[in-house]
Amino acid sequence: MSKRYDHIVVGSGISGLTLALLLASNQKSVLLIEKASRIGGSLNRFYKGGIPFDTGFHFTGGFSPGGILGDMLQALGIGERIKPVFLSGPGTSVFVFEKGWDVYDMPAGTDAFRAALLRYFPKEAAGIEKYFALVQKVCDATVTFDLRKITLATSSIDEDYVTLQQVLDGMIADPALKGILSTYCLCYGVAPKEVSFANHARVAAGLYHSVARIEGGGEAFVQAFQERLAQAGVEIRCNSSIAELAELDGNRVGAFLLENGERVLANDCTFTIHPQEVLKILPRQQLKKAFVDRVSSFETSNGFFSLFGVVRNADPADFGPSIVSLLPSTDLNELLDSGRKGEAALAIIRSVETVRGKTHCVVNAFEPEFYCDVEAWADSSVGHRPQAYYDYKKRKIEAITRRFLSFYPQYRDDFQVLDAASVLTFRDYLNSPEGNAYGVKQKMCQANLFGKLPLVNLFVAGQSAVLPGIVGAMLSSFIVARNILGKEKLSGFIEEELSCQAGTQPSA
Amino acid sequence: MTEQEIIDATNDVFEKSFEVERERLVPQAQIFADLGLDSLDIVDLIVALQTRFEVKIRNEEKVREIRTLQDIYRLIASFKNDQNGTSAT
Repeated sequence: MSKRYDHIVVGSGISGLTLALLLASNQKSVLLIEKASRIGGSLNRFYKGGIPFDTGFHFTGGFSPGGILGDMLQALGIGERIKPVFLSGPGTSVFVFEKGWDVYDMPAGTDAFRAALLRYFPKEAAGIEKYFALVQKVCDATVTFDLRKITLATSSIDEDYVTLQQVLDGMIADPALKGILSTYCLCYGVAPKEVSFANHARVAAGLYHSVARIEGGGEAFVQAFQERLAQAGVEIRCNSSIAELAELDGNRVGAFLLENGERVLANDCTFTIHPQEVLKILPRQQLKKAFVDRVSSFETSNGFFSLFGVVRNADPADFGPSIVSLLPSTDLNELLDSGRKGEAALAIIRSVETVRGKTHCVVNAFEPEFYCDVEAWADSSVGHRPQAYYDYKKRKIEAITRRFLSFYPQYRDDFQVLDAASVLTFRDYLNSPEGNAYGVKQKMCQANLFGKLPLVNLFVAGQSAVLPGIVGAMLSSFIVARNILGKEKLSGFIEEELSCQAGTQPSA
Repeated sequence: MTEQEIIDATNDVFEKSFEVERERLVPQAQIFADLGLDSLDIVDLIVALQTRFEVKIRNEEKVREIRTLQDIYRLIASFKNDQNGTSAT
């Protein structure tokens, strides 16, 4: 007799983990399925010689008291376990335009960031004020940023229909300033001329407010969730995936066949995997061509070529955390163009990581990489790549190292590269199509795959649904949970969890 | 774009993207009851119409008021008029 669950959640990135826990915390029996051998996806860290490196989650914005991220963590009962390490002080958030070696050292906090821009670009004062006022307007109008008001229904604002590029062109003349304000496009993988100003503002606002790493990295999320999921009775199956939807009764799925042939019964199922993977599983005869066309038209985002290094003998007290963005161009449209031939935008993160009593000064350096860059070797697998691929990697490592040392010459004798990963590595280890970092690109006026699917008991959530990144992925799961559990039930649950926190402050 | 061009192109979207037979595409046809679309299909319909007519269809209130094929013809006409009447932002 096949076991019946209330709900199956497919994919155990932060969206799947969030949804599984929300449902289980509200008395649903949940099966969480993960294709890889462990849960957490790109929240997990990669260890080389005992030293931890980030594989996807590097930092987040918006970690403010009473803000959406804090509220979501609190509602999930893991708020205490996720400890932000805020970047603040000189040298911790730096933008460098390499052509003229123009260095912009930006302070933490929205007001301080704005004030610094006014100092660097006094002639652009009016445009800077307008830009930040418009960012604030978008956030104030974004209902989903208040956990007590989230809803599946969307109502758009003017800024959803104008691109970041259009807004910048209308307010600002200085290309360097436009470049600084566009740099956070790298945090969601959509170029300024393709992203709506509203979506850019929703991500950037959090980063202007604060940039934080997490103590223990993305793994802190995984461990915290693991504990809570066990307490809530969620059954987790790794090395598992849904092969087929079966026993269709009208447009309701009756059974879920796993890759091992096992038949699992559930009332509902939510996919938190890449939309193109969802489309592969849905029975084609149940789908209208318009739906297939829409989902097929989504463009997969870029991934990153990542370099993992350490600086031996560095003073941990003087080693970040910090993020330096080295930008070969002020035009982020160019830097996010898959056809670009020149050097890529390079993010360099320094952080101190302590593992089993040993402290390491760690460097995570990564630049956008597109599948077309490595497509020639797409048929290879981990450890069995052609020599040309390894030569490519070596060139990349040398170039990134040179650029790293151009900003940090003091580390010349002590910097050591331990490993590097291309989007093929991420594709093969994390099952992300094309090794993408952000799911599908969320372009202006695009209707993302989110919420209910054409079959009545199927749903979709994840990074590609509402907003990319940790906040967006979690938010999409809260919204879908509201749909599944009902507005009253989830609102009651959220209210109860949040009121447990003493001295709750108004939402940011 | 003429009224007839809007009608023909809209009907084409229904035929090709929603596999609705041409005979059923009459102005008074109810989108849900007669043409078999559901609320989820509206998202795909808007996307398909946006692509076909190269307009941005916003104003969720107007979209929620759609009941018949005629309503869609009128909606497209109004967006095309807006597009022609205002300069690009």
